[in-house]
Amino acid sequence: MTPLAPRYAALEVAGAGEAVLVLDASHSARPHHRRILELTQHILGQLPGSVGRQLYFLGNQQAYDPAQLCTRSSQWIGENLGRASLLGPVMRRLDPSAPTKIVVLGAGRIFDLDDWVEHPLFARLALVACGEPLQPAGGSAREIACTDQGNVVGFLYDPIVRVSVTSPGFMPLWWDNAGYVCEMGDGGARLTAADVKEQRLLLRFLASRPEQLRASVLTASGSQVELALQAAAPRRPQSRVLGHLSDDEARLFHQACERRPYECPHCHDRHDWQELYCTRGRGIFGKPIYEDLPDDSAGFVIFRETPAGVEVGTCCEQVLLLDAATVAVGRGGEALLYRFDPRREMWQPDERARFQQYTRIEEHAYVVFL
Amino acid sequence: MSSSCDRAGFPLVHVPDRGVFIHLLPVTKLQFECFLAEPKGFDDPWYEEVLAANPRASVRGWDDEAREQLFLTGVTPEEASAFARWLGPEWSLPSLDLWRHVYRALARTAFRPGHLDVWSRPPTDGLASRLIRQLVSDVAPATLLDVSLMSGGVMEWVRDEEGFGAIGVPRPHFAQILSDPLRSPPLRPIHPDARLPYLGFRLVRTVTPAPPARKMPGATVVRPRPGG
Repeated sequence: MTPLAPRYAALEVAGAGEAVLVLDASHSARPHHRRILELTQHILGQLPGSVGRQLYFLGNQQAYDPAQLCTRSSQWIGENLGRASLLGPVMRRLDPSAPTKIVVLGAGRIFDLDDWVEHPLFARLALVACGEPLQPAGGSAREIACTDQGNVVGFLYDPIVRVSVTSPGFMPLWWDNAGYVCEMGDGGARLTAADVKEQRLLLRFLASRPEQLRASVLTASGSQVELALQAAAPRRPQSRVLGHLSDDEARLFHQACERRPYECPHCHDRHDWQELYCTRGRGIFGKPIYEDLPDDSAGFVIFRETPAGVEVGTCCEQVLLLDAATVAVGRGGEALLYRFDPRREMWQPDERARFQQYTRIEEHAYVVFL
Repeated sequence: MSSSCDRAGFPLVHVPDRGVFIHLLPVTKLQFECFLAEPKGFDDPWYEEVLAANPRASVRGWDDEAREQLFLTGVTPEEASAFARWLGPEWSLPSLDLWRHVYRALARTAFRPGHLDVWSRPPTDGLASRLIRQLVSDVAPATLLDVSLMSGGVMEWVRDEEGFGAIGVPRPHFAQILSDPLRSPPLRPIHPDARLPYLGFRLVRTVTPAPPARKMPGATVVRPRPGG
């Protein structure tokens, strides 16, 4: 079997983006201007405050201030009354790479709609006909009924509710976005986020088919898109030094590394070399035998022998790579071992083996799981 | 010196011996819509009427059999002149003499792939570039005349001593008009205000007083100059 090599990949999921409302003030929509304005005000009122808003009129590249719609709508309709129903002036104004959602509210045909079919923003555009259709029957633009106001608002504001990253043989080792967690399931490992506050993700991972690494992005409306992750340059963070062991703790550490029982500094009984907490004293959680470790120490912790003594530091990886086909994944209070099954291209839990505390990962470095 | 595109981003051909630029192509619907986007009395009902004469094809993809639908037709000389005024005071419909002069000059000017490079760069509009690339692919031109569609396009409004007439060599399936563009008199519709589906136009921009006529030099494609 070819050993899996760690790789780096990056993902950026688009945020909610801005809501662009394009109103039809043309003659063809004249009988429906009032309905268009009422609907626009309703939509603007329903959008969460965090969503940016832009307001345009068909045929006009000038942006209007949505906050002034209530007081200046009559003037604006008058300014735009003689324009033809053209989308081009607005589309040329918008950033094609922005995660903008566009809703056109009007009546009667938009003459140049077909010119924009291949434009990146076309997939983010919806037509709301308040009278005659805005496109011929069977047209390629998305349409939302003007009576379905909730759907219009939902289209404009459709936040991401889940991102799931995986590929055949996928195993994340380290990632820089705390919103993501590693989930181990029957289908293999996934890196998932339920609430994507930070939109960027850089990860170090193993995969049997790294080129197939994909992120599945699910939004509140139920729409789902697949995004390919981009290969990224290695950027492995340095582990953070938590402190140094005292002489007594260092002696205890060396005994444990040699897999010899040690005398507990709390109860003075002999403890198995793998025990990191004394449970014979007070408290149901026990007392850590390395008392000088910070209280929030958790997960994989590295002990490194240096000329200045035994240094304790965090392990920068959330999943510990033990060899080319074995990893340790922290689950609650324990670390479980997973081995790569090349036939199924999947990481399987190793039921027979346990993660060994004080596993040597480098010549003078040992790791424990707290 | 002037830009080699109009304000809608459609390319022009320089005719130095007449001191003019002329639209490379008949005015397209896409181009005219930049004018329509400003409230000048040409609104949706007017455009619906024009499109009823010759429907609109999108530059995003059209059937070569229907390429004439890219161009604005069914308009009167007065409406074409309104578009010319929007482009600027130096714009007008070409005279019959100038149209024929350009026709001959373009027929003598070989088409080179480098022309496409010029028409693919700003200030040429992106959609205009796309239209021209597709047109060149469809037409496989030998000369700039083939690209210009002065032959194989629409009938075009020109000025002469009798007022306005139309000249051109449309494809037979688009309009059955048998005339020699260099010798036949211009076509004069019985009802000049009728929206005839084959009647379009291109415009000229006069940039310098015309020098004395010389012996038939060719036309040139100048490199675009932004903001010229």
